[in-house]
Amino acid sequence: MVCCSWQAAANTEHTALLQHFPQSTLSPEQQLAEWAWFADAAKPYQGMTVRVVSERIYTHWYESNVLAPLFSELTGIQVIHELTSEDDVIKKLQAQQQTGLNIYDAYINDSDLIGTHFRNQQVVSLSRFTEGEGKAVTLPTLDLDDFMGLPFTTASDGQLYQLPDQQFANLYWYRQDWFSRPELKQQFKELYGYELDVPVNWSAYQDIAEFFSEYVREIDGQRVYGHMDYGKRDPSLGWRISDAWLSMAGTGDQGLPNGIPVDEWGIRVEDCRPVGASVARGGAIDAPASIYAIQKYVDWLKDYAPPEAQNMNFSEAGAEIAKGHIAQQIFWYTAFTAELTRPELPITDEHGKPLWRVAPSPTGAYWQAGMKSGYQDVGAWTLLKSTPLKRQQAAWLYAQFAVSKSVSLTKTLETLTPIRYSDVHSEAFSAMAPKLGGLVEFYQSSAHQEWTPTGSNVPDYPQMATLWWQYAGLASYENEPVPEVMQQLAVAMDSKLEQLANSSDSPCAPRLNPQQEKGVWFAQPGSPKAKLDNENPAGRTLSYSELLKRWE
Amino acid sequence: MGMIRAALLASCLFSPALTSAKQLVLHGYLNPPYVMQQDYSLGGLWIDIINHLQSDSEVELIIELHPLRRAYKLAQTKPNHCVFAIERSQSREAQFAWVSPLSISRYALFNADPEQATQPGLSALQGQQISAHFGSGVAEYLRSFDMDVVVAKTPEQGAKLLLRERVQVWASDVLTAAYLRQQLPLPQNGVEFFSSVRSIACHPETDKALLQPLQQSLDAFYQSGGLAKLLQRYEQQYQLSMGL
Repeated sequence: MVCCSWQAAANTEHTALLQHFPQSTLSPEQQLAEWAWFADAAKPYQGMTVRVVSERIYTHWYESNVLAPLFSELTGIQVIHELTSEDDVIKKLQAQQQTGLNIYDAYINDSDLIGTHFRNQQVVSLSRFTEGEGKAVTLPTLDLDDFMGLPFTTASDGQLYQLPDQQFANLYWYRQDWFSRPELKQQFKELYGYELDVPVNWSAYQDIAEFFSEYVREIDGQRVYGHMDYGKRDPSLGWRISDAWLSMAGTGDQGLPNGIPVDEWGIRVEDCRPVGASVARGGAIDAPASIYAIQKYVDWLKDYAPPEAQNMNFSEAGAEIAKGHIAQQIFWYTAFTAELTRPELPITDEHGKPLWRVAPSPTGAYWQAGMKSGYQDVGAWTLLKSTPLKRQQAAWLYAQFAVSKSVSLTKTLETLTPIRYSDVHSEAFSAMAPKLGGLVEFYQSSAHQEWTPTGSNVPDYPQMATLWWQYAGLASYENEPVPEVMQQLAVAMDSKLEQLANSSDSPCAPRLNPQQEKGVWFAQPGSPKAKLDNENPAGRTLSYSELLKRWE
Repeated sequence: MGMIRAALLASCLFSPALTSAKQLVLHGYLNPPYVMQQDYSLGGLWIDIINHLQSDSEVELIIELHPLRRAYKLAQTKPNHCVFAIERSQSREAQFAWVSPLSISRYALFNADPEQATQPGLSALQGQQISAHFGSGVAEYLRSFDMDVVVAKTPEQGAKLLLRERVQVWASDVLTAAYLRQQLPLPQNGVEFFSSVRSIACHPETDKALLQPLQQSLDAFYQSGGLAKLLQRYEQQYQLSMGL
């Protein structure tokens, strides 16, 4: 065993921190040793103030208000950990790249930008940093192999660009108490001919949505709805569409974490170069599967969601299911699990246990086994090359503190956005299963590798994500016909790819395919897929226990 | 405040004229040291940047000064009309076409009690009254964390609420605070908590042929280091570092 000063210093100096982190997969002695290492490694940076920014979810609130002050006490490095909307995080990162000004020393940036980062080369490769200029400030017990999300933050060039800080998935959410009521089960079976249970396909989801919105209408004196979504023309609408609708419908190809060669955005890649988004160039944004996905999104929003949902954005809609009038949601962000387990809510029982469950989302008519099953968000620490080295190093210390084993289990139990295998398989996390409606089962299975973020086919996420909400909003908000909107979107995406092709010298920059008749591409296997004769097969449901077996 | 209309370069007041199709009208508001009225001309950081954009891009820019609410409304209602500079945020993204970023602002909390002055984290502010001025976006930001915020019409009014002990904390961008410190006995050290990207926000149907050269000139100004030098000049004048 190699002995060094920080291990020798693992004495009682930092024992006060133990009360803040009572749960850890490390022993108290190992926790103290990690903290002694942080205190020692931070000495050259004492007195500095680092600025970091992240999106505004509870996990980052906890970091900003609990972890940052404790890190400052431990190391003498002050941290301004700012919380803001997700689109603002991206805009600020873009602004730093565009201006060269050092706005923040580190970003917690969604791994959806991995395709952008490895192409524009403005982000520090953590693989190189931790072996080079950041080696002295890289925690010896960081244990990268313990991070579940590493495949999503490693680019196709093999370099790790981002370190996961929190993860959450988009899963099907439903009111298990309502689905278990005998009178509702009987009524559903009489109407639709099969059991009211967890929908496996979109036909069943649609039937259940119709059942609650049109037939049940009221439960315990309250107007209820069989679907919830949002439609306001706003950046958050783009994520709703690009995160999950097309992947669940089956737009892309088989392959994990993202379809190869066509991903769930409908972008085709050859080698590492994006070659087109339109069907005419081998992409799938205007393919039948994508049109089917957006048509279902628009129709269900109008037909089965509360009328006010049409004018809501992500934050406004997120608060709705806690009110207790929604029966199911095709996908729901598990980042809000902590908020939905508060005992005073109408969706928890008198003991604070959830009356809801999460399960795999139903899949659309074009989906096939081997394709990604849904979306997972991985907020990850990202350093920009425009940040001065000393500031990168100080910020990297804080980043690692926020995900270190001495801290992460307590943080996970508090915030429910796990990142480490060691945490999700811990006794403490397992013991929370009855309170979390299926979240523990999801993360303890291999399913967490099938719910994946946007991948490396997308060469400029900030610019291309903007197109999603601008065009999808035309369908959801302005009532324009979906096939026309998707054709316009495909043209706009191709045009953006062409601009990037002309302005980038990356070996993985886009290079557009020539346009061909759509039939040429439809005749080939995989995506883009020709229109199915029947996009509405018979509805299928399964019991919750049967569905959980899929996660075993 | 009456409307002030100024043709850039000449930087002098003149009567309102009809806007031609090749012109962008930029509606601003007095906000020292970003926008200042100096005798019969305009000055300040944003005016300096806009002057550079006009000469570099050759887009004809007309500046009019109004109260912020009016400036904002005009940019919302008339194509080829813009407001400068407002925070570019997710909630505003779809409402405007943007020329961005015009500047980066650092916001800090200034506490009258020096004992409280260095507590980090917004949770330390619970139970305290905070003044912030209208238009900064910071009042809305702090309120979204359930903070008790008093909205002042101007930064100066916000600062005076602190000095008169009507609030315990004043939230301001550090450059404005440094400017006001020349006139008012304000606390020296604030606790920084937020950075914002402030931008020119134009009506969404504004002619792209006008916006594109403006954005290109702005990008080039950053890339050449010219904008950083300009910012340094203001930092030296007001004796602060924004850490950019």
